[in-house]
Amino acid sequence: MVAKKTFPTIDPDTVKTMTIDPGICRGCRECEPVCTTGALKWDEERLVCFIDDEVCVNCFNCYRNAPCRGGVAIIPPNVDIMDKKTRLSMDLSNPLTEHPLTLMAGRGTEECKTNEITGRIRYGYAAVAVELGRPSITTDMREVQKISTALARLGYVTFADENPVTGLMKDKKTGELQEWCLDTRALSAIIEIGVPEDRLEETLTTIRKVCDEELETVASVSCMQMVVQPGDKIPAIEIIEKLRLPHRPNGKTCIGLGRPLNNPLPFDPSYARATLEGVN
Amino acid sequence: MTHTLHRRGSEESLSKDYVVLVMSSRGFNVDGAAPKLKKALEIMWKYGIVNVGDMKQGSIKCWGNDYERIQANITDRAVLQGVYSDLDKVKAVAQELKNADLGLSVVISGLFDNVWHTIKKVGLLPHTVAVSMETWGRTDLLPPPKIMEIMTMCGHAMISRDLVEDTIEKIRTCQMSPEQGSERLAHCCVCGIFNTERCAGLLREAAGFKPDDKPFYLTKRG
Repeated sequence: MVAKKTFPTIDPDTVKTMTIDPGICRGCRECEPVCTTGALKWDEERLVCFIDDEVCVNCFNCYRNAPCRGGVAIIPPNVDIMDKKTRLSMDLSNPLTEHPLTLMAGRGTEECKTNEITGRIRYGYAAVAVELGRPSITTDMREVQKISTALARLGYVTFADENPVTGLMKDKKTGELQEWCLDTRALSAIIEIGVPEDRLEETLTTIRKVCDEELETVASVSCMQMVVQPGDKIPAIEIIEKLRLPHRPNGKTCIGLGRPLNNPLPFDPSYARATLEGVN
Repeated sequence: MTHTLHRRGSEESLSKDYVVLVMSSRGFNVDGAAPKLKKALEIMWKYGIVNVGDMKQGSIKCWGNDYERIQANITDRAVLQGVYSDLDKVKAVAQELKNADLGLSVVISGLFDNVWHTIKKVGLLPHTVAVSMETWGRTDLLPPPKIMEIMTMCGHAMISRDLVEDTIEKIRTCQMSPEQGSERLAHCCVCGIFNTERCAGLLREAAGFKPDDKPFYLTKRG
């Protein structure tokens, strides 16, 4: 067995990106599979693990879950000295970071989750979320811009306020993102838009085209809409099926318990009674 | 965030996987929401929840967290989420949340047909839905479907492909049981929507064991 060399430990206050302290790492390599992007690597020469900055997205998963045998060898970046690219990467990748724009942990807005309160998605409209990099492939902001600019060119798309990607745009009319962020990589980033229902077909076709022809990563796509009663109709489903696009039998349902209701369009109780009739 | 969406798997497997999320809405009913959120968590906890957490604090599977600790530290902006394997439990939770009339938003993720049928039994209707249109673009980069079924139970992608594959290998070589493997993976999902019961079954299958192969992990196989 080769004896591990000793290294001086690192001062945590000086760390700008996720780092493994070679002075603490005992080379057990238990941390390697925990990494969401394969950034935790083995240094054959020094017999310690290290984090590849080019691959790391600062999701903090290793810091929270790596079972280091020699003590906590993983040092998180000091938020007071990290550069803004690292900060963006962390904000988008670490689900426990509260994003300064949304004041929510996570990568997007409240979207349909609180729609009975906010009226964010109304009858006659649909919301579409395009999450670049998900699941688990990662994305840089240049990939995100491919979709955002294509959507902006349609002219009628509304980018969701308080969404981290919208906050990075130079101009919502063009969908272009600020130059400094384009090479920043994250586990995923979500573009959230609102469109009139009669434009949904063109919108989805545009997204599909960019995904098929230009994208170098993956995108998990979803469509949100209010359910039309009676009959539990989701007009967007008909459009999705007409375009022969996939949709899953499972998804999210907001069950309408929130208050105060500020949606001006009435939810007619007689429709509810008609729909609930015969349900045991 | 669409973290409870895009869960993969067969309808049979998904029929044992329902996420319930409760939250207040910024600018509308956040102020003073904490006591109501505490009540909501109490209701969720009563009915045999598989996993639960608060987006601000992590799940009961993380860092020695437990129900009491999460309950004690709920704030107005907590986002509570838990996962159930049984529709009857979801029905009971929906009924009690409705009766409690907390004014908080409640979202149930799962098979639409099953969720809608269940909420209608307690006099509720679907208000707004999010439909997953699956994954587009470079799908050739994705892990195999069986791995994806497990990974997508954490919508924030905190469960790595490598960790799932390493866990399957450890189960296959009898170094841990599927239940232990499932708990190992659940540590990484901070928000509490990772269904450890469903995952144990998927791990067992992926490792090549049948449901009645127990306690196989105590005896090394050749």
